[in-house]
Amino acid sequence: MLENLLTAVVFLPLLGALLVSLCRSEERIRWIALAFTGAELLLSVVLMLFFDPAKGGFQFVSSVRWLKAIPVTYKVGVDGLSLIMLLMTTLVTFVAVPSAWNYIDRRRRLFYALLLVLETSMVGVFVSLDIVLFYIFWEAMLIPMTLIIGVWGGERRIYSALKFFIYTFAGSIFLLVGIVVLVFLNAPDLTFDIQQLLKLSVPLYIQKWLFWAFFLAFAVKVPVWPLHTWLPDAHVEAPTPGSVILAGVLLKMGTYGFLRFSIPLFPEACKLYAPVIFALGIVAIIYTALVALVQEDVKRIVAYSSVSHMGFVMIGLFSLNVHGVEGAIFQMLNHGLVSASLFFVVGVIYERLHTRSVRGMGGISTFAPKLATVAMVFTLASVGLPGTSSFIGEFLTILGGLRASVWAGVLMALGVIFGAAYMLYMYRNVFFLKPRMESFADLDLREFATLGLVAILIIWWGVFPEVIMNFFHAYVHETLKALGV
Amino acid sequence: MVLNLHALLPELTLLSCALAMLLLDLFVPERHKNGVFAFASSVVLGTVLLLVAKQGFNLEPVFAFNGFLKKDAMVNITQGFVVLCGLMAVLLSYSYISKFSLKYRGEYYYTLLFAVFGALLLVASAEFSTLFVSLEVMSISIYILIALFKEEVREAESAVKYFITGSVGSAVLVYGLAILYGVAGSTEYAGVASALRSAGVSAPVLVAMILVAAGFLFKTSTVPFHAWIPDVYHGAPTPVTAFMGAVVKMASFVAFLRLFLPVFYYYTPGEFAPVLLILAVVTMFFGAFMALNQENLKRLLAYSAVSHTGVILTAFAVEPVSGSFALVFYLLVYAFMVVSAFAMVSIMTAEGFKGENLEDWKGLYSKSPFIAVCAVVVFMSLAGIPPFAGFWAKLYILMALVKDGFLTTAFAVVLSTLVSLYFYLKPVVYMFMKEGKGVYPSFTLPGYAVVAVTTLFVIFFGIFPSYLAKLSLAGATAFVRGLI
Repeated sequence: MLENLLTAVVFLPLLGALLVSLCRSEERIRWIALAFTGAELLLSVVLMLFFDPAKGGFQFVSSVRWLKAIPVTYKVGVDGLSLIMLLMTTLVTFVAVPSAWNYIDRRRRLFYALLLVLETSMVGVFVSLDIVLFYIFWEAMLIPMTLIIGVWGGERRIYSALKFFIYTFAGSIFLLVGIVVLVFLNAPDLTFDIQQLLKLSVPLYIQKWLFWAFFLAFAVKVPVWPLHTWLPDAHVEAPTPGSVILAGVLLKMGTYGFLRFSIPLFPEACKLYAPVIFALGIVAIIYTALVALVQEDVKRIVAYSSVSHMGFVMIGLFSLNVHGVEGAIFQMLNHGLVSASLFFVVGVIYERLHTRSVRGMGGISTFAPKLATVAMVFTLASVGLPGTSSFIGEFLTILGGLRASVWAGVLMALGVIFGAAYMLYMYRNVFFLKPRMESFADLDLREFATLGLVAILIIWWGVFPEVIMNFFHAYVHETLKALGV
Repeated sequence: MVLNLHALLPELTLLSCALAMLLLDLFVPERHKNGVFAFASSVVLGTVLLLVAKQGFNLEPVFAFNGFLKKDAMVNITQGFVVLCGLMAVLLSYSYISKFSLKYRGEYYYTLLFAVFGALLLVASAEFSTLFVSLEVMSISIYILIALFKEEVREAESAVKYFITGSVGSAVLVYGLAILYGVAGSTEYAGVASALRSAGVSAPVLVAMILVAAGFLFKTSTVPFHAWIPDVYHGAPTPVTAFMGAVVKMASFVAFLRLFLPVFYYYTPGEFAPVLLILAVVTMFFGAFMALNQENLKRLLAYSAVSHTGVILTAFAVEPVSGSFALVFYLLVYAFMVVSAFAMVSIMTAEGFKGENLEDWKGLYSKSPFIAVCAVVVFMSLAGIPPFAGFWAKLYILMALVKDGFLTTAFAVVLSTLVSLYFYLKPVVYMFMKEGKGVYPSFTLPGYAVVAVTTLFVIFFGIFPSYLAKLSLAGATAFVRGLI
């Protein structure tokens, strides 16, 4: 029964999308979407309750032979990593619906249908245990996301939407060829099963090629500097719920890909190229933090902060030690929640002031104490203040980086200082100083409840990180043991 | 002399019905013609489809006319899809002709049936003269179909252009066939193959092969024989373009494969691979880059057809079974996508509203969300984005290439789809992300139905490709087994 529950989690949003597209009343659509994303969240929590964290490997596995000509199966299952990603996806999508509530005021039916289709493909990416199934979800996600950016976005929405689609597709084509090469390695028995593939030992010279083929696909999504240039455009032009999903979930698909495929499949290549990744990660952390310092567009600041924070995650992953990897996974979850909420906050401000420029803001805290309070929590969480969950993630990744290379650790710590600088500057300029507006409506109940929920989670997981980390201890130990670290 | 007419039941039914319609044309009053003939053609094609299906997918080949025609599973499957695409073209034509005045309505429908008849024989032919005659039956019918709408200069130009270039293509082909006959002393594929193998490699044979290949590369619009395609696709009435895009491409490719494998491939296994692959790669990139700047959807789709031709051509270079399988699967999927795409253009066209420029598609989502969503599905499928059928077509080609070690070509294929993605996104951008004037023609039911059905196919075979893959695999194995 639990096996089927996972399939239900994957396809429930699709059912929701169908209902939404058939629903006659534009008003009711939002409630349907909220109900379905809420049900998804509940289901993923139920899965967590039944998940046995002590056991390694995949649980709730179910598979059905899909194709006859080649052994492609519909196979889903979760391990500690997938489960946390699943939780993050359902949570962020649940947050995205309230963020769209008033912001999306035209073509609501199309929007919520796309959002729910998007949720199906995002969930699918994290739970697929067949590499072709994984690729299908991975690519299918591009269509709804592009439409969300392109239809409801800002002025340069078409340019940004196309840039997003073409950039990510450009990465994925190398992944596709890489996958085809990979499945032929076991010839004459083709296998597309991820569990089987993970047992393969790939010859080193093939590892070197495939590592870069997979790297391109995942690095564009993360994004790793210098492949990040689609991100500021897409984030800035996307409507608030689009940015929420982009920052919250999509970026983690890249790091998830590294963790699921690159590291276990190409361990020697990973060790070989880890210094390159470290260098790119450090550049991402420092350079994009400096870029964020000089931005005037609030959304751009948050977007660049995402690139910077994903640099921490990348270095944590490729430090290939327990602290680094566990920190990276935890940081993926935190960054998902924190950046999604920050985009939500920016969206709330934009809805009221119709500007994203710091120059047009200031003194909002006098009018909107509730907004200022939750925004403070998220800003501090982004900075990595102890007591918020980001502190744990950032600290562990720095520790991991330090153990792998002292320089990396030192430079990462420097990045934290820059991060604090631009986030706190932004907070001051937006919420304090002299008010630049006559009035500003505070959060309504819907917004306050959503943001409050996330704020509570961030603090809860900051004080009791084991609540979450417990789920992936077994996974991380197993993965690293297989690497021989 | 073994006639074995029984095996030709579908073709003969089609032929006799088309001839009967020729007579019927004299008795039907002008104002009823469109409806009567569309209905009659649909019934005929439906019957032929059933007859083709009834022949099953036998692994053992069946011969007719003393071995001039050879029918195995691959032929039956291709014929089935040719008839299906013909049926779609009839439905589209009904909508199209009811919007535009056409003097020759009866003629239009039975010529279309003759074109289908030619395509059916073409894929089944196993002998040079049958091949040439059926190819000409198909081509000449299409010249006529285009020329019937001669009210507009564009159509007349298109017909003449296609006729002249097409005749040159056919001439080159038949010259090559003649030389092959001169060397081998036989016109049947099997006889030619064995004679050539025992005679060994010689200059006349190579020249002949190049000429024959050039003839087919012309029909399939491979660079450098592609120059006719944008003008002809653009100038032809859209239902005819849909028919050409799907049926002519499918039939010519299958006929080429059925000549290529026994006569060329086993003559010098693998020797042709580099040449074909270079042509294929050039073709896919040329098509993709040329399509980038097109503002007219029919021209855009014409260049995209060139690009797809390049991808399909790679299947000729790989090992026969996996190559034929990938090729047949690709063609079947591609046929649906092309019919669907042109059907959308066709129903968007009306008197005084061209409907084929991207500008005309502006804001289509607000007029017809259904058509707009169908267009997203089809164009994304053409770009090979999952979970649509086009993805599997691309994947099977890639797998066939990688299996034989053609990694560079595999990269070229995916890179060309990356370039293509940009122009496949263009209609999506226009429909969803731009506001239109809100003036569009009203859609008629048959055209609407064609779009809906073909799009459903694209989605269905994207989620359950097994059915189509099983058919293609049966066809490929039957064909290759019949050769050895």
